[in-house]
Amino acid sequence: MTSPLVEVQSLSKSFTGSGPFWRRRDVRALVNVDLEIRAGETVGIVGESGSGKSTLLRIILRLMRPTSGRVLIEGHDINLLARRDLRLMRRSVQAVFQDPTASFNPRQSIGAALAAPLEVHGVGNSVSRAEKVQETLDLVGLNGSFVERYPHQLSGGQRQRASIARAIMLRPKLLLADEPTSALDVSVQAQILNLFKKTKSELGLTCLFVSHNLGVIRYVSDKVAVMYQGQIVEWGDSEAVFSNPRHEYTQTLLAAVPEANPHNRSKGPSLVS
Amino acid sequence: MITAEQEELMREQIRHHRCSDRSPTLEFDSLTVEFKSRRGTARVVDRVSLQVWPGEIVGLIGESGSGKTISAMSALGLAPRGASVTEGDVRLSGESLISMSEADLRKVRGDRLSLIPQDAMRALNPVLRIDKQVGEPYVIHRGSNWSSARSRVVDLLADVHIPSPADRSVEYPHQYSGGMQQRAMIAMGLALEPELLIADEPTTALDVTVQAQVLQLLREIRENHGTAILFITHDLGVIAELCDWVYVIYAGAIMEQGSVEQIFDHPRHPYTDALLKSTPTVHTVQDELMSIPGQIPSPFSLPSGCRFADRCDRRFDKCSKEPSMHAVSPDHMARCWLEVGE
Ligand SMILES: Nc1ncnc2c1ncn2[C@@H]1O[C@H](COP(=O)(O)OP(=O)(O)OP(=O)(O)O)[C@@H](O)[C@H]1O
Ligand SMILES: Nc1ncnc2c1ncn2[C@@H]1O[C@H](COP(=O)(O)OP(=O)(O)OP(=O)(O)O)[C@@H](O)[C@H]1O
Ligand code: SF4
Ligand SMILES: [Mg+2]
Ligand SMILES: [Mg+2]
Repeated sequence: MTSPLVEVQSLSKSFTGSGPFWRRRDVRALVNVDLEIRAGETVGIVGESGSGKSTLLRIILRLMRPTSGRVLIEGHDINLLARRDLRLMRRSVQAVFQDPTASFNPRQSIGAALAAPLEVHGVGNSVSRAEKVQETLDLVGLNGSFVERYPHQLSGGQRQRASIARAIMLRPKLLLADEPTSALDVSVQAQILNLFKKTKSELGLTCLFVSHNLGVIRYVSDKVAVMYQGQIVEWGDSEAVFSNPRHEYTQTLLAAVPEANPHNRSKGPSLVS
Repeated sequence: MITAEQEELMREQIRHHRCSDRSPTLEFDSLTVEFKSRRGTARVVDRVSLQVWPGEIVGLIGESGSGKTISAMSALGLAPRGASVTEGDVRLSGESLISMSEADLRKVRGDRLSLIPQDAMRALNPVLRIDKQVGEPYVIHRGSNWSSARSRVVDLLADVHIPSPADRSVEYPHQYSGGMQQRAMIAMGLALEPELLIADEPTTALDVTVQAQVLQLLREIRENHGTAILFITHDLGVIAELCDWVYVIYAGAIMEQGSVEQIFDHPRHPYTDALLKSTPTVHTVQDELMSIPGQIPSPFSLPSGCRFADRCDRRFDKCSKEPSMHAVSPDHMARCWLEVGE
């Protein structure tokens, strides 16, 4: 057995609550979370909205410090890395953020935004970089004309695909993807999901994939973590979790998936809760 | 094979099927939107006609980049810079929105119609507390004072399942998760129980249980206030669950429309058919998902024939001319040469 690529060890994160101090309660976004991702594996995360999924990703990306606990990548604590190792890590770990708009500079064309990571890490020359940009845009189903466009000139799904393209420009080892296909129609989504699977098998990409779409998670993941109120309440092989969910919350989730069949409409959940 | 008279009759029945007498709450009448730039003219919305009747929930689905957001935004006079409506009209209960003055439009927006935009995170003002933003319509359009608006806001946030709504209503957008921001926008959209609600992918950041509760809220507002809802989504499950009528758009044009049962049980357009087959499901293991080969045509150079032709596996000689919309049954129409008899 290889050692895991990513180890998350009893990670917790609290945010100071708002409201008057006498009844202020902290928001506990993550509570003692443990997680292991092995090289070449795709781990899917599903869970309640607000259960800490994006917070977990932000901490792994070093965009935020945990309140307690630690994250190891290839055995090294990411918050204790030397400058040189940090640079290497920045290169081999890439992310697709939940909000693709915020992650683009509005004054930079898509072509420039995609070439930027190559430039920063001194990959190739301007000609080979332009080729690589073109090639990667093509992989996500955007034609050459998008190179010159600016982020606000793209539809929601086109922006999301541009942000996926940017994340795979450097052919990372680890990809953290937060709802990467939420704005895509099912056909383009299928194209992207097949791309993830192919990159994974051909280049050994390791992936942490967050989605509310359980069909998507089932399709891409080897392992699944189900999050609820800051904790992982269920963890296991994707097949086991989907065919035999153990935790009540997982069961509730699976039961709530709307079916693409108008004859099986639910009566709708009761609003008293 | 269907004769011209039969088809005319069917169109009449279609109208009847959806609403017999009243006029539609929302009507796009041959709406066309173009972007002009150095590279030429991009026609991103091409003669789109659709209706949403009072109390009806209508789904709009289609490929990413096919013009869903632009048509909704243009209807509200919120088209992005560079875009202009070059043809057609949009009417709210018979009244033209396209020719309305900006001042009148501002009154209509938020009061009689509201929009839940696709990008909640961008739509929220980062430096304004959530309660101020969600409560604003009450103060502006209903003349309510801030303290009563605030208590309504807390109720609304509770309706969309924001935990500890009273405490969290005084937070700023960056303190909310993606799904919580989206729910704040939904709360704002529902606030004034509008005549018309346009929801652009409103549940993409919600887990399926919260999503189910939001869909239930939408059904209730339609029951209780006769709100007409135009629901833009990529989620076919949500369409099947919620909508009465469905429009399928591709490269700026409506390709198929029908009752939700017809669209799911008997899709007639090859594009719709392919869409239905591309969906991953929770129920089975899938080795490879089907996707439609190729890309949507560029709005700068739309093909002269059927715009789906270069990706269609059923294309034949007639397809080099543009097909028009044909009625195929009393609650179903498709824009495809396969539907036309000899
Ligand atoms: N910067 C912050 N300041 C204060 N609270 C925060 C901050 N970021 C997140 N939170 C809170 O932490 C909790 C977890 O948020 P997070 O964004 O991780 O959720 P999520 O699982 O990604 O949800 P979603 O599926 O809705 O995107 C939420 O209650 C959120 O409001
Ligand atoms: N400001 C702009 N300038 C030029 N073209 C634009 C601009 N905004 C959008 N477009 C183009 O108009 C077309 C329609 O965009 P729209 O946002 O309506 O798509 P959509 O159907 O909502 O897609 P999605 O499902 O991805 O959100 C797209 O091809 C897009 O690239
Ligand atoms: S008109 Fe022809 S090309 Fe277009 S969808 Fe129908 S069969 Fe396919
Ligand atoms: Mg999130
Ligand atoms: Mg859109």
